[in-house]
Amino acid sequence: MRDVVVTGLGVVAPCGADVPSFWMGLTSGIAVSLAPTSIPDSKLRVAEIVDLQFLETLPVKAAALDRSAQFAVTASGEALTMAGIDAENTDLSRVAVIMGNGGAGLNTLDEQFHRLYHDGLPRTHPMTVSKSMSSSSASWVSIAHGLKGPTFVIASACASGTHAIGIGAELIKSGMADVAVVGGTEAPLNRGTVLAWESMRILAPDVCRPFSKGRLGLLLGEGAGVVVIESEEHARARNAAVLARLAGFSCSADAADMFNPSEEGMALVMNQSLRAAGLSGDDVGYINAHGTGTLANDKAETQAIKAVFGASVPPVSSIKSVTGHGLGAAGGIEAVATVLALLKQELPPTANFLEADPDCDLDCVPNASRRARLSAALSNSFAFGGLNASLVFTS
Amino acid sequence: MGQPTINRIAEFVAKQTGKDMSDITAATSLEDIGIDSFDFIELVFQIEEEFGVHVDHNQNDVAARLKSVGDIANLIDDLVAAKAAKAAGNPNEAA
Repeated sequence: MRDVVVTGLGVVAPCGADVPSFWMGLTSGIAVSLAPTSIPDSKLRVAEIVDLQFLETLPVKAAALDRSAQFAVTASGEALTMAGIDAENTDLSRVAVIMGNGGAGLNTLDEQFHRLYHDGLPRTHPMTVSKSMSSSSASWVSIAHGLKGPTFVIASACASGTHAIGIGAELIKSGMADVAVVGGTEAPLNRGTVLAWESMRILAPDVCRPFSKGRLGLLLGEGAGVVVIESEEHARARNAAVLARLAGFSCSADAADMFNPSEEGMALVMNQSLRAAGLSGDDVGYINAHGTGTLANDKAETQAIKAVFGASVPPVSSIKSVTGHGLGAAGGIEAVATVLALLKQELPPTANFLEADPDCDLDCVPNASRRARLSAALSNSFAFGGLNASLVFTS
Repeated sequence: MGQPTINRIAEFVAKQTGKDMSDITAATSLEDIGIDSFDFIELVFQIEEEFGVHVDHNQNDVAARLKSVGDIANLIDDLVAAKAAKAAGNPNEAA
């Protein structure tokens, strides 16, 4: 089995549309919380990407892509540039593309069905199918960057990005690919999708406050997070700078409840990913939590973390307090943040923290980033449908 | 073909390709000016919306029939005239 290393990072998020500005946004602890552009008169709040200047340099025609694919192509481009992958140093038929998305083409479907059912027009735009098919984001990343290896989308709701990264590593380990462009993307902030989430009554009215007393739910976000991973031998052969190792991955299903999280399921993937990495709990210096800001998730995740790490629970933070919940993108965005925490030796905070909740008795790095010495970090994603996934990165 | 139609098609083509309007005439080849498969589908869609006509085409053969700005303008003029004639001959439909 081959070792897998990270050589590129790319991100588009409400707090920053490239890696440097994203990290500055995260460590500032300033939450993005706005009325959705799609429902301007609403009291609802979302974490929306407002400055779309990056679309001007998209290598493909922006109008042909749903917003979620635009994000995926942009983040992938940044990650590939950082990795220095090109046709000179890499056989592009050996580069896989695996994107995670919870939904696909959600804005396109909302807009085009509005034409039919509200405007009474007789048809949709002819690009409706290609913009909304589930695999669209992965195909556009492949087309935009000339990548010809195995290319597909993984859908596991809010764990999609984490699954995509982990499965990409397995493709490399098995020898099916040398390099993989992997992560998650999502653009759910259209009127229909936002109101569908609101109907579940789990959206925070102001900001997301993970692990804090007074937390009232999640804030919908959007964006994409992508990492370039490759076999260590491939990275070495082309003298690439290694940012981190992708040392462990695990995923599982609770086979129980569609909505309620399971502490056992969460603990299972954390334990298994540590075992895959050959690490014990003591080795981990930081956990990037799923931390949605709902009562149920944060309590269950706290219990699961305590069950896994016992007396040596490391600092835990949820960047969803700043970025909002990127759904299928979240695992990708949070993997980028986790690798950056290792590189910068700094822990991004859990923003908007009011006061400690006895149900969430963790050191959740409240409100201010913190310098730290760490050589291993874990990133969690837990999804509706009882789907769990964890990744372990090491220096 | 009518100059107003050509001008309108030229505007669409200029917008799609980022080219200057003054570079586009009836003789301008769609392929040469950079209209690709996506642009072509978008172009037909926009034309149908604006002129209220239905371009009865199959994606497999339409590109072979419509090679220049003038080809499209001719087709639109024909479709608009046919629509008007049909409406005149059938007052119920016109209403």
